[in-house]
Amino acid sequence: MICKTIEIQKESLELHPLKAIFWKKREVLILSDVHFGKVNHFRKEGIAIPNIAKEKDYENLSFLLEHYTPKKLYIIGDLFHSDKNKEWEVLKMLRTTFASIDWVLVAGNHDAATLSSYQDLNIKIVEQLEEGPFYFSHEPEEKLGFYSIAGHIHPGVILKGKAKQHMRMQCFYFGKSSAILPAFGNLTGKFIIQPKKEDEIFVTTGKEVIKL
Amino acid sequence: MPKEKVAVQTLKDKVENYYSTNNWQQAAFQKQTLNKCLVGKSGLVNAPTGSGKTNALLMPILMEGIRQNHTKGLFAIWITPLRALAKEIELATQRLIDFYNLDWKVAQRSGDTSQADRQKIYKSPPQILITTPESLHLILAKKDNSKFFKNLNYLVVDEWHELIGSKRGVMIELALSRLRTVCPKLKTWGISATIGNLDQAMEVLLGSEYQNGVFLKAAIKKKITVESIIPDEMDIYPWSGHLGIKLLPQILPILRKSKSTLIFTNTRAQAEIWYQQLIDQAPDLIGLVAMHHGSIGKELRTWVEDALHEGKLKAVVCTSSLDLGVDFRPVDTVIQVGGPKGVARFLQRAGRSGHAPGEKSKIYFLPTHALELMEASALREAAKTHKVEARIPYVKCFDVLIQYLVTLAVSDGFKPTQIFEEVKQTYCFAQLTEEEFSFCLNFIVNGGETLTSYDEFKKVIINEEGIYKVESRKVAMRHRMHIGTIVSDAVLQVKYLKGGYIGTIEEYFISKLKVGDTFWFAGRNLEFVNIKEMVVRVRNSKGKTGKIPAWAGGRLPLSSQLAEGVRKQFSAFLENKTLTNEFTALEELMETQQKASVIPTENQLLIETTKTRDGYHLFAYPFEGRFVNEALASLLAYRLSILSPITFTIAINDYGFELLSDQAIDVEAIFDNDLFSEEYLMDDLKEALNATEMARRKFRDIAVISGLVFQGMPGKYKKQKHLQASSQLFFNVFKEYDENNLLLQQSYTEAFEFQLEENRLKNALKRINKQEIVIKTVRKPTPLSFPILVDRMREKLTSENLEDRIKKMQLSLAKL
Repeated sequence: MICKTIEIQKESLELHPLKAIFWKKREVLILSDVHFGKVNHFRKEGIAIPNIAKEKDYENLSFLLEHYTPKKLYIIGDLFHSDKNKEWEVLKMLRTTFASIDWVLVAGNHDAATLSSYQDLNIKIVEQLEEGPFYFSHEPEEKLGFYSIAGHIHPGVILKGKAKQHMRMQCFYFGKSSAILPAFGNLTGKFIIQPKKEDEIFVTTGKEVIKL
Repeated sequence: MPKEKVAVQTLKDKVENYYSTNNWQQAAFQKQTLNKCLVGKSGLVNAPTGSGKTNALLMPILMEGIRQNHTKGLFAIWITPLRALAKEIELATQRLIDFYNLDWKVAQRSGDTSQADRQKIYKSPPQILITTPESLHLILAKKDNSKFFKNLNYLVVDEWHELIGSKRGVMIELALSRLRTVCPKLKTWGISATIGNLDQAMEVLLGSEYQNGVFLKAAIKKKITVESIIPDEMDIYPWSGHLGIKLLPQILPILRKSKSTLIFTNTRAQAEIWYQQLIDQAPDLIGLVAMHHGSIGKELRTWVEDALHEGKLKAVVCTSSLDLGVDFRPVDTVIQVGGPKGVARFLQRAGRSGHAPGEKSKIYFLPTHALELMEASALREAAKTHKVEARIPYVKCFDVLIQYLVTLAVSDGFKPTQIFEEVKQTYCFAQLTEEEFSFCLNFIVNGGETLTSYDEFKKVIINEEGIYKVESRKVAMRHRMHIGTIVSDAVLQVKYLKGGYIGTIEEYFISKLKVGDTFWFAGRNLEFVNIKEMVVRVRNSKGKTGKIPAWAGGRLPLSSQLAEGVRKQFSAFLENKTLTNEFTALEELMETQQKASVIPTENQLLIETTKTRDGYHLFAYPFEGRFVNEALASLLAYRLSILSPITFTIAINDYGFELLSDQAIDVEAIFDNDLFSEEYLMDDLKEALNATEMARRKFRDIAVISGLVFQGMPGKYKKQKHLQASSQLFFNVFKEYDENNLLLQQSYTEAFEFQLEENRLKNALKRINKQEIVIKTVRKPTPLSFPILVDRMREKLTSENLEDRIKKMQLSLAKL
């Protein structure tokens, strides 16, 4: 898999094709909008999305945690899609497997239903987080003196090519003073953003991160 | 026995009495229908609008009721595909009830019926119920519904030709399979206009009653004259997207000299624009013209219909919403704007004028681009021969079956063995295997899986007696709201600030408006004030400008009959045999085509290549209608893409297709590698299908009908956002993890059989392989290629890898 590195506020961030950022100096893995629990939530309501569809997200997260062996994992919102269901057990197993890593959740709108339960999983909950030059929040916020990193949007862009070609891709967005992560969960939609000229956009094919 | 004979004669006399009292002649087919009904037959009546088809079947129903001395309970159901028709039928029924002085009631139940009225109908059923396929299924979802249907003797499906080729037809087949068990006395009758497969139409509707069925035909043939509106000035390049407005001044004299005119357009947006322009250009007609389409509220539609009946309107701009049924006697002129795409539809619309016996029907054809004049010529030929299209029924619609099973589970529950036997009696599911049925059961009980420890699927449960039931009220409620097979984008209600319902509009359109923007809707200029809980609030605006909403759908392909007709017209033009007005008008355009390239004869396939700023273009003109052209385009693109990595965007119209690429297209490869070969056709097509969006598009409807994806319903409930996922997501997930899922397979089958029209495609390839392929390199787009070139709807097909493509694209990021 081919990653890309970007320098922000003199910090080196590695963008991984599985839609996560590795902050090298502090050994932090950062990702957003996981939406675990969505499959079970749908199935409980009689909507037949195959169970196996959720496994990729768990596999991807374990892969990244093994690959980088970070000290900390920051999830900037929407870790669990709904109120607790049996899928919580799967998350719990994953948490146990990677017990030595500190998990911090910057709570998102979807996390409200499970907020009180994260303690049992030894996941620290914060409203927002300041570390080094960065300010992490679920919904995009500007914070004076910081470079802010958020999720929530599930950003995507439209690419245009010759011969009337175009396509839609999920992307990492880096603006002058803020960044937005793509949704980590694969069972999520995307919202098309229209970046400005000076913005930096990286799309991911699942195998390679490509700068536009 | 003798006693019975007397009774039958008395009934026949009663019927005769009605006709003679009104000074009418009972038509032969009306008599035949009565006779057959009175001896207990089912059947299909082939009769056009205005022939007395409604009375032909209402009479036997009433007579049977009189014979049985029926008083209480539902006796007959009359199904109509369009709400607009229900009222006319209700009035006709009431007239007969009054005439025979029966203590009977007739009622309508449709999407427009209020909750209270629905309750009333269910608690004290009328003797005759006029309803739609969807409403019938809603009744089947009610608890204890067998009581409601207990005395049902007749089920009549009106305008069956409109339903047979759709999933709504499958809904009727399924409902009938249930009712035939619940009501052993039931007789089924259909009424159909002429289609190419009437015998099959009867077989589908009658199902297990087919052996007992009779086919009756009304001996009524109308003369139809077709006149094209020829532009005073012909453009050499056929224009596209002008919607025919340019020719509006030329129809004003026609409107003025006619009593009442129907102007048919092909889409709702086009109707809005035409209405607007009409009152702009002919202010004297304000108040005398109106508009009618499916998104306009019932009140307004009813007003328009009434005014038409009373002869108060000079013209109505309408869509297929006025195609069917009801006769508007004052209407003496019909104008068709743009190609009707099918012979049957065209003849039906033509038939909306000239109702008096012996009168001719006249229809004016108004082309929206020059080449459509060829269609007019072909339509005139078709009107002579009356060779019309077949409507192919669906088979094995698993999505509709799944919906139906949940409907039964929501009512009193069902036993699979019994329902399996019942649905096997339908045409649609005659070949259903036990395995496939098990898939459907498993889909609604276990969500398509075997039990796993972390699974929580809950929809239909099996109780101790082996009955499949829905217990969750939430699931039941959600299901009832989604009964039906018409899939639309999320729609919102449009209401005035002060109240007053105007109609419905697609969410997609509103999402692009800002507060204060104005738009045209239902012929009014409205200002967008706010949006709250699926209701768009507006106020009237005095402005003259505004956007026109675009409603999805409405793009029909040219039928094979008509496509063949058009090909013949090209040959006829070249041979100079006939000189029609259309040909004369097209002369200059054709000359340009001949000079720059060539006019293809019936025995040639023309391929043009050219290079523009956009890239390398290949145009081919099989003249096979949009769907088959799309399949041919995908096939050719796929086979070219195997030879070397390349990306195409594909544009289609009814005449031909375009492959456009950023790389040069090797045209010689078509000959060298025999790229139109019929060998490996289905395999290649499936690959091509995977590479394009066709199956994915079909899956959209399937996902909604089978209950995977919810649509917004205006005012009925709030969007359940947390339960919404796109059909795309389901398509991807099934494709990746559950390739054998029958719903996914169905989307391929539907794309093959309907979109691609497999047989038509095979025939087209056979034809192409016998044709001479003529390749022309042209300097700039020709009259034939121009309308395709400007079409913005595009497919893509690629054999390049994603990473490479992105790298080529990155510079053109959409930065606004």
